[in-house]
Amino acid sequence: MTAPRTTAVATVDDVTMRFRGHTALDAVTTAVEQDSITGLLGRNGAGKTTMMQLLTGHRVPTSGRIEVFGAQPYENDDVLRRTCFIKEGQRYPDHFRVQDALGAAAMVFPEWDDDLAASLLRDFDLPVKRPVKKLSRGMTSAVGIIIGLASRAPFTLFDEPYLGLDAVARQLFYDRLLADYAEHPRTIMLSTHLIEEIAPLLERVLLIDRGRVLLDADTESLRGSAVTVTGPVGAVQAFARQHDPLHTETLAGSSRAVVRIGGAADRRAAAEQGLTVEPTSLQQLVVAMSLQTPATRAPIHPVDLEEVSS
Amino acid sequence: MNEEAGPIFRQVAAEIENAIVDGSLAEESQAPSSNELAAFHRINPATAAKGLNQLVADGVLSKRRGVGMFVAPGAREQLLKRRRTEFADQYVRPLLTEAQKLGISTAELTAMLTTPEDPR
Amino acid sequence: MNRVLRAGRMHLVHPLVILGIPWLVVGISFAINVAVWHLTPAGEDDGGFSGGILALYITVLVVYVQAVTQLLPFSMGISLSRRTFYLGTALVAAAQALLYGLSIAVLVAIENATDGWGAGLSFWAPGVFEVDDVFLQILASGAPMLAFMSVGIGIGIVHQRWGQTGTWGLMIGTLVFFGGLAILISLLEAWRTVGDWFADQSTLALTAGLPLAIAAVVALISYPGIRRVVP
Repeated sequence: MTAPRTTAVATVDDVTMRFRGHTALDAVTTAVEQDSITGLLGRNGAGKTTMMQLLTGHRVPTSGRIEVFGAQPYENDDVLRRTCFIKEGQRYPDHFRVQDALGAAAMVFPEWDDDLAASLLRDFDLPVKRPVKKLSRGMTSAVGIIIGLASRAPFTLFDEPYLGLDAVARQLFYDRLLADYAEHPRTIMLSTHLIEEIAPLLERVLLIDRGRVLLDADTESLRGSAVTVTGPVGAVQAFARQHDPLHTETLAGSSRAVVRIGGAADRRAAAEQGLTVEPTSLQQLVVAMSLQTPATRAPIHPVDLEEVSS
Repeated sequence: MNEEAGPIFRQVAAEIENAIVDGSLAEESQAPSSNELAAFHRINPATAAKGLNQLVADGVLSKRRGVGMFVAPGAREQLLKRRRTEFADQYVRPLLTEAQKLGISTAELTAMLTTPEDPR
Repeated sequence: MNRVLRAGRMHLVHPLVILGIPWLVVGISFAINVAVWHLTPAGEDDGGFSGGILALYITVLVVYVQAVTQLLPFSMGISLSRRTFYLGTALVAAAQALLYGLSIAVLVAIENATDGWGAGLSFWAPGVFEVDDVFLQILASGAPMLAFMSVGIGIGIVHQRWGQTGTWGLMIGTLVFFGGLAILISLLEAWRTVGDWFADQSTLALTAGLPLAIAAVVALISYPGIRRVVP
């Protein structure tokens, strides 16, 4: 087991962000570990983009404190030069060609790698002389991905980086991200709805819903932390009651429930009670947790989550 | 790697163990690095490293500083031994549970095991 | 500082946009004026001048509105702070105003040497804006340019921060302010005093001092605005 790391690139301390009429983030506290890939997950409107805007100084929290590289990011060039935020729907100046956008990025990111940018341009097959404005949705996303990867910024954030990208291009993104990350470890935060695809890349997961943190854990311990049990209604209910049921569906006398468990012993217990036990993928877990209404939500015990992987 | 088959680091470890058991990864030979595993399986390098570290902790792999990880001498024998002990738990017990559910007696079960191709 | 220079360079990625279009517009305006002056007796009285150069100033204003609305979101997208972008833009504006002042001063010199392009046209420094010294001419032509740029940057920032609503609000607010001022001056029967005040000012104060003051005041008001822009 690796020792718990104490170095955080970014800390979010009791941060609340209120807009007129609604609260986008509500007393959020978390930390982003150095040299890790974190998935920022949650439904539309959960507060993912707001979180990234706060981390990159694009917004200032209503209350609470944000620190990146030990300082507040807002209008802080020293922090910003080490940060790269590729946001969904980034606007490019009308007259900028692909090469102009990349050239500008090359000027301002100290760790920029021209060779990497060039090879990514070939991978994504982008026409460098075409105005970014004339590119398709997917190609525009690819420009953002190239800037994000080639910047090699010590803290890189991708907000829904692959809108409009086809499956091949997304695979390319994952592969190139992993390859470059392995060579040049850095801190990466990614928000996405395509959890299934990205899950194996993630080291940590931060799940937010309605502005609150639902999960803040290491992905591997999450993978063993929930099971889907199927069987007679009574047996499923009995098992679920002993643990932490997230979501239950019933049809013709049999039920299927996603249940948070403590470890392998619980899994065996379920099998011995005559239930069919299947592992739950990260995506299923995230969906089940997000579907819970706030009232039925059990308090989160982070201790439980860490126990599973032993 | 299978997203629905529990922690990925265990799958990584299990796969290397399989390669050692079936002989495709010989003793004393070099195991793949965490970056190689990460690229091949498209997983986080830290996860791959965790799988390798588990094998080191189990004595299946040994670290040679600056070079990489190598299959430990006697690793295959050790793995076989462990798998034999796990066999009852992983295969026999579910078999008995299912047999019981279907009302198959121990005698019938034994008969099936000795002549598995017998079409009942 | 380095980043400020780089932010400034971003404005010059396609210099044709920031430099070419204003000169294209004013070039057309100039050609029309020269033609008209040659075809009509407009230049026969001494002091015949055209306001055609205003096209250059207004185009530059529009260019700077766009410089902010187009480049600010992108600059923030590549991790430049608002302050860095602002300073870079101000730097480009100051350099460009100087360059434009210089160019106009040269054109004024040619204009004077050719008896108003052979038609008595006073295009490049109409009326009060014509001064007798080349260096002062750079100032008299360049300072108003800086004021227009500053206003353009200000409008761009209002648009980025408060959107379409903000831009309309700014226009209506400006109209109401100056309208109210005019009514107030009328009520106080002070137009003569205002006129006297302007008449009392030196040419330099009017053509350079006042525009530079406007540029500085607008720039100071704009800065807190840009600090609140969310891209």
